[in-house]
Amino acid sequence: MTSTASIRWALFACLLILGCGQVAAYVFFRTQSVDFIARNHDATAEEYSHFHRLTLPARLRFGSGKSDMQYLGDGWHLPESDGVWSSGRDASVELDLQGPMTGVVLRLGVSLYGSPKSPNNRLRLSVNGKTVAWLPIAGQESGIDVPIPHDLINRGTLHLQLHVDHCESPLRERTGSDPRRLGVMLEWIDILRLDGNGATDAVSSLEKAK
Amino acid sequence: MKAAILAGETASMRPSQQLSARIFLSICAIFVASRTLLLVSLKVAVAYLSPKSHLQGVAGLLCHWDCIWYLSVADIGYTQKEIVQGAFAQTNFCFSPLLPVVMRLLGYLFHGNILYVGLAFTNACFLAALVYVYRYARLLNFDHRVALLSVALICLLPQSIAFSALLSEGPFLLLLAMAIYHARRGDYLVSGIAAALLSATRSNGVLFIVFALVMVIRQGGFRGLLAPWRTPERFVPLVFAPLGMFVFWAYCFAVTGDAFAQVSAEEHGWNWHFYPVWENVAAMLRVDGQPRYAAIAALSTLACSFVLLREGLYEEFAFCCATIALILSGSGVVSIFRYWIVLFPIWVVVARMLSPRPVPLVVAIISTVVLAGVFLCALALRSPLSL
Repeated sequence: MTSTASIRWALFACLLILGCGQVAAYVFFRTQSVDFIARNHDATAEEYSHFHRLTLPARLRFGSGKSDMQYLGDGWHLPESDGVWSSGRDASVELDLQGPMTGVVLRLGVSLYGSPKSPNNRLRLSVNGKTVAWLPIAGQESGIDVPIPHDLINRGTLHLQLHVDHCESPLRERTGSDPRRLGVMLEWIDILRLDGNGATDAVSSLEKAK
Repeated sequence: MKAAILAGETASMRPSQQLSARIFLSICAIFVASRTLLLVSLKVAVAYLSPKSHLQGVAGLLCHWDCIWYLSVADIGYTQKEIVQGAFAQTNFCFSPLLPVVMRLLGYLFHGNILYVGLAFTNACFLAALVYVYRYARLLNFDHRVALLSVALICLLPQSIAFSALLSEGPFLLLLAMAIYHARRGDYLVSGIAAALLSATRSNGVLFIVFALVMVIRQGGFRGLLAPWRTPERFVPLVFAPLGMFVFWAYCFAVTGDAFAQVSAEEHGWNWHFYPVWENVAAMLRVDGQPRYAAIAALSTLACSFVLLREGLYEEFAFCCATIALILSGSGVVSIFRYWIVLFPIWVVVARMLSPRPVPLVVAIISTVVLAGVFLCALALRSPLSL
C-alpha cells in the first residue's frame, strides 16, 4: 500500500468515526434531552405549591396580577386580565393540598380555543399521570366538575395536565389577529372536598371562605 | 477551466484570483463608503424622526435588536433566567455561541469594552467576507467589474447595516464565503473548518451540508457517494459542517439537560414553531404588513436564486433553497431581508446578470438604495420592519 493510499484510508477511518460519533451523539441527545424551560416552569410551580399548600375548599384565580399564577407550571402564555391561555397542546398546574384526603372535586373555569377547523376541540385532564376526564367543550363554558378519587392523590400533591386536541394561532386560522398559539383559557379552579356520598361541599361554603 | 472549478476540482491560484493591493483598496473603499453612507443616513434619520431615540453615537447606532442578547451571552454567559419581552418570556439560549465567545475572548485579550471589540470584530469579518466574495466571483471566471459590483451590491442591500452591527450576519457571511470558496478550490480541510464554525455562528449554518453533499455527488456521482473511501477528502466539509452545532448541543446538554435548548428557547420565547413551508408562506401572504413583506422578499430571493442554475452553480442553488425553505418553515419569520443578505452567491450572479445591462443596473441600484433608506428610517423609528 502506498503512503497516499494509507493516508486516504486513515482519513476515511477518521471521518467514519466522526460521522458515526455525530449520529450516536444525536440519538443520545434526542433520547435524553428534556425541554429545560418546561422543566424549570414545572419545578418553580411545584416548589411554590409546596410552600403554599391549599386548605379546602379553595378557589384559584388566574390572570394578570393574580398571585395564584404561580401554581401554573409549563405551557402557559403570559397572563391576561381575565385568565391565561395555554401556549401548546399541553399545560400543567401544580397543587399541594393540606389535610387528610378523601378525594376532591376540581371545578374548572375554562374555555377552549375553537375555530372552523376544530369545532369539536376537546380537553383531556390528567392528574398525576392518569387521565380523569375527556371534556368536550364548545366555546365558553364554566364550572365543569371533575371528581378525583382518593387513590390518585399522592399525599396531597396534584400534578394537573391539561391537554387539548387542537392548539393553533387565530392569525394562522384567520379567526383573529392573535399570532400566539392558543389551546385552553384557564380562568379559575375550585378545589372542593368530596364527601362520603360522592357529593361536594356546598359552593356557598367556598364563597364564604373567600 | 470553468467546468473544472464548477465541479469543485482543485484549482491552483490563478492571477485573476490573486488580490492585488489595488483591488484590496477598492474593496476597502466600497466598504468604508457604504458604511459611512449607511451610518450618516441612519444618524440623520434618527435626528429627524426620533431625536429621543437610544440610538445615539456610532456604537448606539450599531447595537440594536438582538445585539443586547449577544452582549448578555458575552457578558454573563448563557443563563436560564427568562426575560419578559412583549407577550413572551425569552432566554439567551436562542443565540448561537461563536460571536459572543469571540467577543468575550477579544474583550479579555484587549481589556476592552465587549461592545466595541464586538463591533470591531463584526466589521473586520464583513471586510474579509467582501474580499472572499470578490475572490469567489473571480474564481467563477467573472470579470473584475462583476466581482466589484457583487461587493458593492452586498454593501448596499437593504438591511446590510446588519453586517456592521453587533449581529451574527458579518461573521456568518465570512464563514459561508470561506467555506464555499475553499470547497470550490478543493481546499476541503479549510472549507470544513469554516463550515464547522459556520454552524456555531447560526444554527442554519449546518445547511452547508446540503452544499457539500451536492458537491460530492457532482464530483463523483452517486457511486462516489456510496464509495467514500475512494476520495475521502471530498467528504471533509460534509462531516465537519455539523461539528460547531454539536459542540453547542453538548454544552447545552451539560448545562441544562436539554441539548436542544436553542430550539426550546425559540419555541417558548419567540413563538417559533415549524409548519410545512407552503402552509407558512400562504399564512404569511394572507396577513397584512410585515409577514407579507417578509414572504414577498423571500420569494423574490428564491426567484433570484434560479439564476444560479443558469451559471451551473447547483451546489449554491441547493444551499440557498434549503436555507430559504428552512427559514420559511418557521412561524416566527420576522426579518424581511436580513435572512437573505448572507446568501451571497445569489447576489454575485445577479451582479453578473446586471453588469452588461446599464439601464436595469441603474434601476436596480437606485431601488436597492431607496429600499435601504426605507429600512434605515424604520430602524430609526424602532419599527419592527427593520428587525
